[in-house]
Amino acid sequence: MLVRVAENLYWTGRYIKRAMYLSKFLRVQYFSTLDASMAHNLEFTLRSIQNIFGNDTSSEKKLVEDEVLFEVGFKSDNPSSIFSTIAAARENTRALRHVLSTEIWESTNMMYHFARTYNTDYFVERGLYDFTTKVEEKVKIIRSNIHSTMMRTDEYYFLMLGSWLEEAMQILRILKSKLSDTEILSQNGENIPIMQYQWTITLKALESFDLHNRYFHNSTSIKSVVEFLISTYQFPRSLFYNFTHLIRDVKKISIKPEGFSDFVFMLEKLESDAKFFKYEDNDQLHEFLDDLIVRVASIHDICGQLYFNKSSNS
Amino acid sequence: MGTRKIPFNLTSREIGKFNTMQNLLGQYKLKDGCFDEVFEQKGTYRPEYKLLESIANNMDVSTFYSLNEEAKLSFFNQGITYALYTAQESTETIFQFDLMPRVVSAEEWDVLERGLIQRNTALNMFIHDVYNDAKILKDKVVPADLIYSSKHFVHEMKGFSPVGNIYCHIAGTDLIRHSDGNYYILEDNLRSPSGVSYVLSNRVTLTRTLPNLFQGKRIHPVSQYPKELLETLRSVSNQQEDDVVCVLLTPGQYNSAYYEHSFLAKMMGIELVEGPDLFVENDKVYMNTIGKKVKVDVIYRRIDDAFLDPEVFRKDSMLGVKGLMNAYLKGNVTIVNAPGTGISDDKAVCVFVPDMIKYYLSEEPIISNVPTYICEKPADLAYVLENISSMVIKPVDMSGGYGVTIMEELTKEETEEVKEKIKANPREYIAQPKMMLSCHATYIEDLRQFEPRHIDLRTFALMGKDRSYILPGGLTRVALKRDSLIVNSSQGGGSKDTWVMMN
Repeated sequence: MLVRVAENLYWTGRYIKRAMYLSKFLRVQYFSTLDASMAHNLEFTLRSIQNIFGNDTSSEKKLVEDEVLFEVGFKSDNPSSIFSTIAAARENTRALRHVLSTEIWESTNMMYHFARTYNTDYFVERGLYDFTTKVEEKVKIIRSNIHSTMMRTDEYYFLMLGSWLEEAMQILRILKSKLSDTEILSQNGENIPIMQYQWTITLKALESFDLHNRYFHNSTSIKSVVEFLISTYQFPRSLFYNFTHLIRDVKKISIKPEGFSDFVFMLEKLESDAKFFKYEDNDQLHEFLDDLIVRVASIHDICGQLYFNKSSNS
Repeated sequence: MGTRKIPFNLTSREIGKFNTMQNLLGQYKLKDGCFDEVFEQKGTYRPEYKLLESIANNMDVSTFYSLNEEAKLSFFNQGITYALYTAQESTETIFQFDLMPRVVSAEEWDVLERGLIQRNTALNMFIHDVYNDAKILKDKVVPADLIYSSKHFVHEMKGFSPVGNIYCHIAGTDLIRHSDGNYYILEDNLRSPSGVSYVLSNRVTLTRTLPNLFQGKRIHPVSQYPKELLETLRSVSNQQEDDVVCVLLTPGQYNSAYYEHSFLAKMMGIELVEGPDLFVENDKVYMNTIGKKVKVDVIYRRIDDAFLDPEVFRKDSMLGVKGLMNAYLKGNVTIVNAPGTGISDDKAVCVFVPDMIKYYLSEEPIISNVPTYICEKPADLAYVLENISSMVIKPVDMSGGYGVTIMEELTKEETEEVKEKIKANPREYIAQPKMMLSCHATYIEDLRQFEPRHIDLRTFALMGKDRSYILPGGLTRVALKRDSLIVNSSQGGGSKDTWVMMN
């Protein structure tokens, strides 16, 4: 397989997954402000949104809701806006049209044209729910096409490598962000229900609210939430589940370059750390999340060295 | 009668007036002085179009409108687009498609097919001759200056013979039908002719949109083109047939024809590569793959000669492969089309193709050229300058309709400017009398009616070692602007499905 093709597949997996997480987080987080308990915390919520989208939040300037929503939703020169992410997914898929099925290409192309032609004024006024849910629906169609129309060969596993990795990073970032949110709210003297509400938002943003409640019989605590999202294998968005499947798919890539065994060992260590994680306190959680974010980021670098280094053959 | 569904806000007057396609076509006005492909005279279909008459009689006009929208959406979602470049930006655009097909009879096609094989056979013999013995130049059948002054002449090709002596494996020959009803060759595209993917996509879209149009009709299929192309590529490899690795070399996804590159690679099941995906080692070409390196035997390149190899051509090329020409000249890889074919792509050289056919094949040309004046020849130049208002002036080496000037559309001052430009650099221009391209009934969305629009036909010939193939039909290009003679997509043109009927 061409190095460039493998890399495009990897990034396709990443961008498609990222588009879904960004859309969902934006909707859940934004609509949380409409609940009475959070209504006076709009500024706080907008900063939290900006944080997840990787935008600079250091400015003391008062945030304007319409501007923030446009920035994270549609601003084309913001590489982490939802539109830019969708466009990047489409650009990578376009470079793979000869490799991917017609169904994958057409569904990705349709999502791009949907976003490209969406009325941005309507989006910031009252279209946020409509836009983000439709993006999620379209991502689900793409993912379904990936799973049903790709041969289980290296092409598929490179795409899944990107997909699992992106998912792990998104889960970690959302967890880290909401942990910081609760601490800021605590410092601001907010009451416990509002802080607990942040974990409800977290669960909803990761499509895990219903499952968590059933698993823990409606008993929500920081411990239940983070352990559900980190170490519960039965939940398909947990880090444990994610790392297990990442390892499974990496092992299925037919090419085993030098350094492959060390790479797998590193992944298995991550899997093990997620599996045996038990919440003790916020400091321990901070430390755990920070460590994992660095290690997941380094997986990306190692993939680049192992598989995408174009100079290795020349 | 079933429930009528009107997807457009037509007035009842409009609906009453045009309630079937036949009524809509009944309003069609023939254009004076122009061969109409569909109608012999107002209301009378030509024999080959009678098969469309019954469809037109029975189709509700609103159904046609909605099918037209569906066809557009189908192109949009499939991403069948090309890039348009302006000074400021490039934009992705859908290639306009007209639902009414062009029909070519079996008898007409038989002549065209033979004529195209004859022409492209002679052109390949000509290029081989030029780069080897140059007999045709020594015999002064074709002026040597014209060839040696061409910017497409590649000195490295001198003395080299590719497999089967084939240089132009893929040729796009543009034909027009003049008001006398005869087909003429407008020009040859022998470097990287594009447009074939639209032929295949047009057929798919028309079949999806109007399936009953095809029922019971004996139309030549076009879907075998990728298979024929792959066989052609394999036939010119130096390797054993079973082991041949073919790739398609694209400039990348921002190229205007990228859709076609990826489409063809996918249909042939071969790798779509960019320059940095290939490298040369010991005069052999390899793909930059993960794991073991894969040797490449045939490169179907869709980049110009100038970008092929920075060691030989443009030093700043980021699109090509260092050392590629050396590997090619050592016979370790085949480049399709061969470097240096541009010498016969030159519009001034096109004039001599009938002479080449006589010289190499001892045959009369089956298809005539559009009369062409070479401005470099003093007699031709004098004639052109004297009769310039009735001429079409073309640069000798531009494609896509760029640089074409229809002189009767210019003011006096503009005409003088063009004359000065030609006089200053006559080698760069040819002139042709304004040929009245034939017209075809074409649905014009803005007017919601059929109007005559000028068309041409880009044909596709595949010339391999001991094999040749002409794609039945080709790409009918339509100048969508009223009275325009420029059919190129980059200049606002569209296309039609082209049906070649079986006997």
